[in-house]
Amino acid sequence: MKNKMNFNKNFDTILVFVAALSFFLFFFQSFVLTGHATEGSTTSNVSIAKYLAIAFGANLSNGIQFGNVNTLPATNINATHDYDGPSDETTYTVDVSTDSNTNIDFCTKASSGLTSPALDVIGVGNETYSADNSTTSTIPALGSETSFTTSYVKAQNVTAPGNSSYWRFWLDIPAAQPSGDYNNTVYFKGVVSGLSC
Amino acid sequence: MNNKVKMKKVFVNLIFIFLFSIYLFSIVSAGVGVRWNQETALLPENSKVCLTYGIYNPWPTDSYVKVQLSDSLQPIVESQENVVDSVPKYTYSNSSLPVHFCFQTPKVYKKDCLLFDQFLCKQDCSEPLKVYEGEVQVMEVSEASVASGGSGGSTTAMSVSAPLRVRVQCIKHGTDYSLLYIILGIIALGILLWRVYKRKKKKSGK
Repeated sequence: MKNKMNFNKNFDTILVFVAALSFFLFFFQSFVLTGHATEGSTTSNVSIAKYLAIAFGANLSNGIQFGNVNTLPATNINATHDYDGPSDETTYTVDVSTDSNTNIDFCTKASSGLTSPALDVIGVGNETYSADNSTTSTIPALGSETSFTTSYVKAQNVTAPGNSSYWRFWLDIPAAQPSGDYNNTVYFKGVVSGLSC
Repeated sequence: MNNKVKMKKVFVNLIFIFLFSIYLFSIVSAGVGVRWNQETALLPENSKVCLTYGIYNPWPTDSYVKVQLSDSLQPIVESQENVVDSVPKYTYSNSSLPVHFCFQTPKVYKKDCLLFDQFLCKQDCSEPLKVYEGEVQVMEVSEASVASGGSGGSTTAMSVSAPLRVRVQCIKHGTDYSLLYIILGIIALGILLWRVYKRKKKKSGK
């Protein structure tokens, strides 16, 4: 009888111990305990903001036109404003606002080849461009023309705030191209200098 | 006399260049600008962060814009607040119009669980860090039209973009026995209470 009472008492003690230990372990695992630091500390903080803005010059905002072509094949047809500056500079510009704090690289692409309403296409590679940070009668140079593609590629590097990027465009039309009006869309994207398109 | 003529020529050229620069500056169209404070966000799994982008237009013409995220960020976009359609002229970067994007990271890292693939789990973080990388793109939507006739040409459209990387943080931890502890505690407490109740009932019966 005494043994049974002792067993009961011990068993209750064990149960209390197990319950207490379980809850202690649960709280210990759930809530991380930390010690008190003996050293003082302070935070150091810096916020870096980046901002950039671009705009087309008036001629580029009106699109890139190649005029009437009467003789085929035609190679390196100039866009209408390629050489219409006072000293034959290009007046196709993309301008970087002075209210920018980072240099800009320009990426460009075409939606497709120039396409007529009848779905005849002048290949996207037949439309070319050249870009530079300055312009003269020979810069941007025809010699460094690049064909448009349908995905963005880097076209012009490091244009600083307050400066412009100057562009020229050319078009090749093969002899067998059906007559008609051909159109597409050319996209220009400004990204932080050094980043990919 | 010759020098005087040369000087005059240089002077005329300088004035000409100056006027040409002013002319170029004055004929710019509407533009777009974007301002941002954060390019990378580090988030634990299943958590949310909202980032703000400022849209501005410092140019002398109102512009119409479309703000969108690249496809690679679409899986984690939760919401977009403050849709900006137009930006008034002379809106500078310090007064840019805010657009908020909220991102919710999914559960990406596999846990090693002992019970039902859900309980008593540990996280090793042996998988490579999951990164969602893309950009916030602000596009001017008013595409210029090309005059018809001749061989046609290309309309033009422009955009600016801000890069964004969302890294999903893996928080390493050992096996979580919390569930086991709480079940064990409840069972022990239950048995104890049952025994006390039984004893009291026995005493009151006597």
